[in-house]
Amino acid sequence: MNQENKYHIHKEEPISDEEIRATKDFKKLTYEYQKMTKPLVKTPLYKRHYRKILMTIILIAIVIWLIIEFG
Amino acid sequence: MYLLHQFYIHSLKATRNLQPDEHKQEIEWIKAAKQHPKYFELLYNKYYIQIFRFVYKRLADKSISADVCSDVFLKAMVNIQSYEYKGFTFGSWLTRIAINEVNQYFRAKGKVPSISIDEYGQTQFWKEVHEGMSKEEYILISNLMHSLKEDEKEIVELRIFDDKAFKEVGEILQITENNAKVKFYRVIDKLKKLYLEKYHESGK
Repeated sequence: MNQENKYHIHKEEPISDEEIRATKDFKKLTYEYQKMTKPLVKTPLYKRHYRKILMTIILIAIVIWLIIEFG
Repeated sequence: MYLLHQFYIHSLKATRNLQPDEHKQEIEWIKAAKQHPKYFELLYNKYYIQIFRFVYKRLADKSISADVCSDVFLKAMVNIQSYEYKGFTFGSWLTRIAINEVNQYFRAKGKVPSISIDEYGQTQFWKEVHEGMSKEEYILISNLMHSLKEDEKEIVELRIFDDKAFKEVGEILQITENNAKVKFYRVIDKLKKLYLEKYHESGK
């Protein structure tokens, strides 16, 4: 065969439908899809929509602490 | 949502016995798959064997073909929102993805692109290029194919080795059926000339 040939043709090895069906796995595909579309590491709570509430609670706590200490 | 689920259960049972009006049904399945990924199973069941055979023909390894085939369906599942029916079937769209995935596999592994052909494929090839050639001329076919550009190889593979109709070849390459015919016969003319120049006139 030509050593520089960049295209290879070989004789076809038959494969049955049953053998092909045995490789089917839709559950695995769904898992891969979820892994790809929904990141495994979720955004921490304080970085999401609770952020404002959290900041307000911290602010109130600081004010209460200031009143108790210096009020 | 309940009705959609019932439709899914009914269609899942029907996947193995497709009716003649399966094309309309397929459009419904695509709509359902766009709404929820679980409905993609209907399309997966319908096309798995076809796509696996297409990939296996090129990779000639069961387990690698299963992995690449899985990548093809994963890509289709992720990008199904961008699929729009424009006269080309979903199977053709999947085949297009499969071609890209196979090419990507060859590039990533640094392997020489390959294809498996049976006796029928060889006969068909010589019928088009130079009738009367021996069937056992793998190397010669390989050398001639090597001389072609990527898109030219693609059309010969689809038409001769995958034994696809011109309509389907056109759908996969996203060109019209007539354009596919014109392109194919242009490549065949090129192969005929190459064969005569390289092998026939020089006495092979």
